[in-house]
Amino acid sequence: MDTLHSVLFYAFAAVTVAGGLVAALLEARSRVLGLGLVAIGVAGLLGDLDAGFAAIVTLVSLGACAILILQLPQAAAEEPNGFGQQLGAALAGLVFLALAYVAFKGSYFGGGWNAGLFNSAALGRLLFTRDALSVESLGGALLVALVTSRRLVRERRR
Amino acid sequence: MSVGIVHFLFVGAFLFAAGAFLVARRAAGPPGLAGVPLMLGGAGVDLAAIARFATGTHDQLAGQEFAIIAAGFALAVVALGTRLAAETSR
Repeated sequence: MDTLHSVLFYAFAAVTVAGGLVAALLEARSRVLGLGLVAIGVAGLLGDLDAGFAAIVTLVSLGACAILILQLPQAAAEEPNGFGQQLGAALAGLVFLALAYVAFKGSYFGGGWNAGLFNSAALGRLLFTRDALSVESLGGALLVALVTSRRLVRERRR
Repeated sequence: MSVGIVHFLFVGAFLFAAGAFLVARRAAGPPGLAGVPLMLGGAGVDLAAIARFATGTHDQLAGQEFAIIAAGFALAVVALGTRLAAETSR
């Protein structure tokens, strides 16, 4: 990749890593800020990878996740401290080490990229023809989430 | 310094591990939900990086496609989870 791409990668990677650290280590309300930073960073990284459409979808989805988590009442956002936290940290560290080792040691096929920056037409063809079942499943999951949320809000109002 | 697939995979691995940390340390509680978008965002970066650097001329967009689906799935999980968490905390 050329210099501009490299600079963009390091900038967005820094934003992503900072957001991940804020989300993982700080307390409830700060976590939303971390998720917002991760949304911006991941969208930038995807844009740097010539995946413009995926970048926009990811920015909207992860941004919406951050806003939804902001809606959680403070009581639900409190978390217990203790042994579970330490075990979780150790396991997450092991997961990172394993993934980093695999990424570093792997041998990759050197492909030639010619799909363009956005290519939303080709993506749409894939999403709505060959992999339509995946899109239907996703639509079903979003519908269930929406209907359940609506129902719970109604019951709460009664 | 030239940026290659390994750089992107490292960032994706970090995000996945950070999400796993959030999910694992609050496995019994709803705030673990914040880890789901992190994990799926990291997976999306990895998938798009593999699509960009390590696929042949055939089917180059498959990684981006599943990155999109992963982002949408994260939104569905968080939408449902936050509502259930709000209800159970009452």
